[in-house]
Amino acid sequence: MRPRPAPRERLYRITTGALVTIAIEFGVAILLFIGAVLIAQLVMFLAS
Amino acid sequence: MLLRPTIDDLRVITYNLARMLLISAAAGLVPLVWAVLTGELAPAADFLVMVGVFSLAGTAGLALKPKHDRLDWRHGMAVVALIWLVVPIIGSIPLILSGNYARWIDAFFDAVSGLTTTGLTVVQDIDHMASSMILWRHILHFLGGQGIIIAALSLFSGAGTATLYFGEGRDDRIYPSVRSTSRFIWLVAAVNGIAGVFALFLVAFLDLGFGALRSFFHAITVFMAAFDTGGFAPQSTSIQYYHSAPYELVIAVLMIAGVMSFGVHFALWRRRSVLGNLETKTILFTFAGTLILTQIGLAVAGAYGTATGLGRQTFFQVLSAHSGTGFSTIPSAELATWGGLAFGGMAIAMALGGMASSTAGGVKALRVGLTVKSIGSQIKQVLLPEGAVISDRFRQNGPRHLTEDLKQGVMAISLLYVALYIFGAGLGLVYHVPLQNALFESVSAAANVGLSVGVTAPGMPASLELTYALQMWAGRLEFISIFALIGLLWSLVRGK
Repeated sequence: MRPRPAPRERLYRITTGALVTIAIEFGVAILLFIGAVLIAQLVMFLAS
Repeated sequence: MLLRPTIDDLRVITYNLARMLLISAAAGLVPLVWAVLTGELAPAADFLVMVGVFSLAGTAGLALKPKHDRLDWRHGMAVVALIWLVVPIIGSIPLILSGNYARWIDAFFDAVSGLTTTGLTVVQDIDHMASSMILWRHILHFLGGQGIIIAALSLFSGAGTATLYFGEGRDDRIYPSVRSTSRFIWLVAAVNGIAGVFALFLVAFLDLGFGALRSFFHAITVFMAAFDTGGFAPQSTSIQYYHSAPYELVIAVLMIAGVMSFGVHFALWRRRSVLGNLETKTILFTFAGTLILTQIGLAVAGAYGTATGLGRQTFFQVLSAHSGTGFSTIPSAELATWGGLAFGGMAIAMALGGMASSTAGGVKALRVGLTVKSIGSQIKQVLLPEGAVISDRFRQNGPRHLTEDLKQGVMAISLLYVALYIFGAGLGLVYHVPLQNALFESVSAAANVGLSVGVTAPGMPASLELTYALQMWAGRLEFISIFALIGLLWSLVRGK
């Protein structure tokens, strides 16, 4: 059985894991939004 | 042959149900304390009644402690199906007493909608509802999304408690023990909660000019509805009320966090890539596809003058539909005018839903991906020479094999969803609702989305309202635990 990590290490893992996840969620939202606007431009151009 | 349940079987079910009622009683204390602190004394009395009923029922159930508290699959499934019925019944007491609902069935409908994280509502004049009552509706979202079962699993351990976890339609087992998995789910909610509430508070306080308490109240309620893909809003005009692009962006981030399975959250925490997962690829593809369909429909109709306006509105609405949240930045009346491809894009996005083991509803991206993959295999089998070996492998948190059992399971649940969508739409037609609106509302209810084109409203026919409530219940639990409950009831009557 693997030993349980020290409290400081656990806190470090949780904090960095949380920050990475939130950064990725934010990045995905921004990319999807930019993608939506770019597709909208193309769609409006083709529909005009 | 069905075996008639013994008295001990019924005691195991009642005992476990009672434990969850006590958790619900504890959750009911939150709006009670809020009501007292904000001077809403009449609602405080309403919550006191509800907490009393929850506690009384819970304590009475605990008195029936069985000799052996071991949950088997039948018990676990029945407990899950029942708790999702009993909590809305008791949880609707303060809503009935609030006077904001014309009929008791309306309050029950909203409680079911809240707990199943749907977001359809028949409340009257929410803009003048007591803040504690609004808070309770959002706590129902949180209870359902996070939820009661996960709370129970985090607190109590016992033989067979894993059946409760799977009974709720979850199948991600992140850690070897269900208890550790439940605690991780709470950790994800807590982290997103702190970040989400803080971001929403800042935008409301600095950009919208709300006061501190008001900013905090809106932040906490909107967070619960967005992260748990619920859709209730503290104002009648949903997210349109804020007219704020930064507020919409924070909500979009929370909806994305909510639509992700906890397995994906875990992988990201461990900095593992999820881009190769079949489910991730499927949801990105279906989101892009439904977004394009909706945009073409609206562009052809000339609904928006600028590409930025079209992009912003469709991004939010399609994300809300696909994630099963049901927030909206346009009125229901305007959504009802979205015909043709725009309607098709939104309806498909709602029907497909989010990731498995998330709080989103619908068929789920993994099932869609597996269905497409198995159809592809069938086509390959026809086209390739006889005896050719076709690989049925796919990636989902590691390499996996598409077995016949898995194919059958996926097809069965997907077909049940389609049948549920058609059933609700058919009943809408009976009440002379136009086909497009009937289909939209039925899919919205059964996929636990909450977007409405105006069919769900105060004074709607009671049988249609009950049907939508049934659809929300069945869609949220993914059928199996409901069939198990029906089987248990049948065996009580006809079992040997």
